[in-house]
Amino acid sequence: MSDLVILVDIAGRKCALDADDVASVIEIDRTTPVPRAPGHIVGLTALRSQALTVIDCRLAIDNADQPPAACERSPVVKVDGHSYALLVDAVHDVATARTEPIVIEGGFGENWNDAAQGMVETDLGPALLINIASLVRGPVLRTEAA
Amino acid sequence: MDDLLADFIEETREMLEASESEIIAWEANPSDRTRLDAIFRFVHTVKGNCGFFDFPRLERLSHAAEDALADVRKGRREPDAALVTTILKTIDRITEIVNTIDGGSEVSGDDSDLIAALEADSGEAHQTAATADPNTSNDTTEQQASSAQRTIRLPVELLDRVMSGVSDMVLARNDLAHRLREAGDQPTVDGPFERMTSILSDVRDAVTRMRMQRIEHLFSAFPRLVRDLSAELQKQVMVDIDGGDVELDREMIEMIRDPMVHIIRNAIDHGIEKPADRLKSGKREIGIVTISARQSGNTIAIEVSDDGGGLDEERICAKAIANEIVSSSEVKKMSRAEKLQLIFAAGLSTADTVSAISGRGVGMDVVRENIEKVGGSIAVASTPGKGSVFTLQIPLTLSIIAGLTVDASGQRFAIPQSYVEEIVHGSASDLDISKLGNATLVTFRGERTPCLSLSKVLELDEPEIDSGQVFVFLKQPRTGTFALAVDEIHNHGDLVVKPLAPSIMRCKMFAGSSLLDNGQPILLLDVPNIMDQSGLQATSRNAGDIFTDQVSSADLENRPMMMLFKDFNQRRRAARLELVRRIETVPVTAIDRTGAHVHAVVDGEIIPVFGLKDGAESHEVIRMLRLSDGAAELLYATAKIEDTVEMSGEPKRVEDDSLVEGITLVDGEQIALIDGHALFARYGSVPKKAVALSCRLPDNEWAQTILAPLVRAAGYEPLSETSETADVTVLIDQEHVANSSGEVIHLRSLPDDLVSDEEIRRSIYRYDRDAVIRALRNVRTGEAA
Repeated sequence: MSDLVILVDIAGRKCALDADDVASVIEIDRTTPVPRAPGHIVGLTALRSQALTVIDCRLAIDNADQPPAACERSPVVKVDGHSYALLVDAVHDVATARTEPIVIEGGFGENWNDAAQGMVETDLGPALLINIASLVRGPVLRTEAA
Repeated sequence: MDDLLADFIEETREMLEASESEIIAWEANPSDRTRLDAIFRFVHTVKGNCGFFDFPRLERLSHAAEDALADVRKGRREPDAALVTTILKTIDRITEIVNTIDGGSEVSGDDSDLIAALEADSGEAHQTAATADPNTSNDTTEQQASSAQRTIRLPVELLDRVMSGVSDMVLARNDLAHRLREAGDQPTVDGPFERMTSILSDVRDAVTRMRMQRIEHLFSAFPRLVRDLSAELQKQVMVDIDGGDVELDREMIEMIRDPMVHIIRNAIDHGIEKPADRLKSGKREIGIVTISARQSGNTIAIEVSDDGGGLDEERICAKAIANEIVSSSEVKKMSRAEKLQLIFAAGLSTADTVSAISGRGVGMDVVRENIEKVGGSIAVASTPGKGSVFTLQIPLTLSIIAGLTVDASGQRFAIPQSYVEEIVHGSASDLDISKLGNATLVTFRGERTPCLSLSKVLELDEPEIDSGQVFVFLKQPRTGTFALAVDEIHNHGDLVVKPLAPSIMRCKMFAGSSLLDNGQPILLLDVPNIMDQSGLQATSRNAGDIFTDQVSSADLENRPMMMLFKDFNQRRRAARLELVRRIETVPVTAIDRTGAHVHAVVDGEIIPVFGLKDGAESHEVIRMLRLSDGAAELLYATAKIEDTVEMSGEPKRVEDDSLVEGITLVDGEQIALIDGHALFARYGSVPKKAVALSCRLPDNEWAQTILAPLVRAAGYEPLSETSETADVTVLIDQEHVANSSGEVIHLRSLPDDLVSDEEIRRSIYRYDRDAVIRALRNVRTGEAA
């Protein structure tokens, strides 16, 4: 991974996304809902001629009912050739990760363990580095895969 | 180094594909030096490259093949069947080795068997050298002019990037077009914008073509396939390939490879008879399999035909009944063509013995399914004793499909057009909705079809299916037909389909996404999966037929149809469909309003026009209903032609308008039905041949290309200058004609303000359109110009 991470808030926690994974940060205009899709998939949105799958990160980590994330800006990531726009609480700054991801004693909690790679120390304090591939799979499929 | 290796593998593969058909051709005619040279060059190149990359095994093998071929070239060895087979095997081995190298694994194994076979009879070969045909070298001079276009290799990813860039540009253009429309006419911007639009569509075409590959790439493997199969089955089969230059999406070529191979296998295994049987039935002992491709519009038609025994319809039906695909009573009602299509039904294989070639459980149903998966279709035609033809219709690309957009619970979805059989409005009188428990059946034209509500399938809402909805009949041959109730039909057109994220695919409702003109994403329904998940199986269609007799279809057919249109008073009107002969698009120039009655010239006939208002001239063309009572005809001018609908009940008589037969209800609106009898009594006339009049035009380019259409529209037959007789002669800047029979119209190149008054009276400025038309018409009505 690169040293740079993008700090975001997910479900009120400070999280970090590897800057290499983030293609851009866009403002989501309108989304087309996808009926019968897993809960964390909000829908599709268009980025120029591309259709992005919009993921609600709160729901993607924790399957429980949570108020939807409501930040206008969302990072765009690419996993297995598909692009996703991530709905987060807030997008902060780019920071330098000072450490490799570390697993802390006792873990991060049931749902977070699957979605996180570990803790990284940044200039702006510790943050949880998110495993993006696991995030876009969502909570249900993660359990199935396990 | 890795790049070099990748290039080597790619190059070798391309040459392998090309050389295979060369070998078959060479075997057919061993004295063909150009073929031999081509194969030799291939083996030689492989050998050279192997040395460079240090693949000893490949090198030894290609070296042995090169030696053997060199002997043949020098006439020291006869290219007999055994040698050709060995060479073919060698090439197969080279393919295997190249694949192993590409896979990155270690090349191991032993080729001594092949090398021995290649070297085997070189001793005898020396003896035959003396008897070698001295003519073999004669063909060498006929160097095949290689029509190699200059090409470069590009990663597919780069092409995709260019393609999505162009798609972005199209969207940006649409957005801009929308804004320009809102801002009103802006001549300074509109011109360049139009130009950009046309350039963009050119670029789009070109980029689409980049992904295209000649279908040759697919076809080049078939001669080998046919050769191997016919040898195995002891049949003699010749293959004839046509249309290899047709281009198709690379991915599409991969998708149809297996189905094509299967069809060809079947043709040789089941179609072509054994040589002895062929001779008995008076055919040549060599059977012919013809493979051809041609493009028509957005689809490619591929035909595989054989001159074998043809399909046995009795056996197909017997099998279909035995396997409970159809009932015997259904079969009785089917035509031969319909019966033949049964071979595409699941679980039908007519081969009595399962051979290694075909009939290994994968039947034509799998072929059909694979073809349909890419949005294509397949059909078969066959004549007993003469052979069969399989026709595949394939869309040009995987990524662009024709789709229908529909609304359900306020959201828009797309349905691939290929599944759509029919669209019926819920209010149509011969459509009946019955609810049985939670299931719904619709009865249409006497056939019952299970019906699903799109909103319900997608869990958007729990609405009751009612007659306010539109029913889209979807056909999926594996499972039958079903009706999908949607709220509204929106549009249909080409959709650029993009793949969906795996977690969306997993819910098995959607096959892809696309973008609407406004840039909004839209989901494409996965019709087969929706059917599967709703538990609609093949039995569903049979259910309909049982009840056919209960609904008398006779009275449905007798219900009169009418055509809805808007007249120039912007009133909606309807005409009985039997009255409408066809819809004509008439240019305004062909309409003559000078006399007491308005006439128009259509296809050289003068027909009276009714319903034209002042101001209609502002249109360039006017759509007219050509009404006919059998003899007399009448053109009814319309502002807009809307639809054909069924008449609900008898029209209600009205007194105040003699040209209206009555009032009828369409979707709750009162619409006046025009009275054919009154119209014809008042205005109709038997069409007069307008082309009885001829007009002689000068033989210059201006007259032939610019004046002739105008003359024709005015009802004259344009003739050349040298014609003997004509009703009228047009002269341009000219005083006299040699044989001036009939009237003369003088035209001049100079506008009125540059010539004398006398000249103005005598002749007409050639671009004074109205004056020219007036002059031509006056001649026809007998007045002097």
